[in-house]
Amino acid sequence: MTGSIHCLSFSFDGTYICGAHGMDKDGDKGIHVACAQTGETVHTFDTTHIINVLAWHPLRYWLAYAGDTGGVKVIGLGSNL
Amino acid sequence: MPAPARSRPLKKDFFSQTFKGQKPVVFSENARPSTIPPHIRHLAWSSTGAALATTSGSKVRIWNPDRPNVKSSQELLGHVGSVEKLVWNPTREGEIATTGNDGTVKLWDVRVGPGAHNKAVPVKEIALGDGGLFLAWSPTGQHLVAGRRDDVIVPIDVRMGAMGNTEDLTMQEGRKLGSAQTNQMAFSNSGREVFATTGEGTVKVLDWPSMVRISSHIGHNTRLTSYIRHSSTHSTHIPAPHTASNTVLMATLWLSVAATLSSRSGTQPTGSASTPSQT
Repeated sequence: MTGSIHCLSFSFDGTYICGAHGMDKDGDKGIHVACAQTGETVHTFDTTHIINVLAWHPLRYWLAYAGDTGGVKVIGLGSNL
Repeated sequence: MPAPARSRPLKKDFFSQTFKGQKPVVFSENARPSTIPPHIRHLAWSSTGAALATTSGSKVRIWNPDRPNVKSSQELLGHVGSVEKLVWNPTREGEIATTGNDGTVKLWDVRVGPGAHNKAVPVKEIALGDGGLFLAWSPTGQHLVAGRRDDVIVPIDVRMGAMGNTEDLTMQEGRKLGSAQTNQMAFSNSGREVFATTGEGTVKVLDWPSMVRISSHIGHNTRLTSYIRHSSTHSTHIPAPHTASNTVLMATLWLSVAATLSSRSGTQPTGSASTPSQT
């Protein structure tokens, strides 16, 4: 990731960290998920706008975030993830 | 909604393919969402994940993750300026604290249920003396620390809780951490330390509740600092059973902070730390 990170969250098991650039003018869109042990990026969730706040669910791999159109979005909600 | 069960571990090699094709569920305040993104300042899951709280302007909204429509949500009304931060009590499900530009910390209990039009009012509140910037709840649920716009840190005793009594919240005298701006604070998982991130680019580790500085950690450059600032803040959002794994995580991000904490975890602290208070 380049640019300053505005928000980040650990997954419930401490395995993954996700971050986004929020409110930084030169920041990228999307949410970057990294493995907390190795620091390698494992996935990027595409978003239409810059994300300013996000949080993993405390028990599941469900990810809530805001900054995109429509309202708060939750990836994985209700799924077996 | 009942709290969902804990997920099984997901290996990093399978992360991308597992999430491929997952469409996010949208929680919108409007029946026909605008193309302009609503400004949601902050969001937080309750400690069991049975509720999701968001702030937008002066409003706080509690969503039921099972029912992503505004009619099934509850609105918390009472702030007169924009709400900066909301935190759930880590030990009492349903209790939530908020702070914002109006300079108050408000305590709510969403179990009380909404009144008319799905709107609820705060159970208790206290005036900070200046605009509120951030809040952190101690792992025991007994204390809040609030940060003001003028960088004064204010500990608040919430042992009385939101419910079941009429006593007011009590606030201790606020103090500044040196001359630097304080942007965020978070408790360590043991509750014996608080982390503070400062405008000068350092993370400070303080003893709790004495707030005596134990150590200071300098980032390599501005970007790294802002990244670490939030990692220390958010790391405490890991539920209490994950204290051990969190220490590992802290180590990958902030070896020096982890060393400070481990030096204090024994009965005889050996680091440069002042003797930790056990109260």
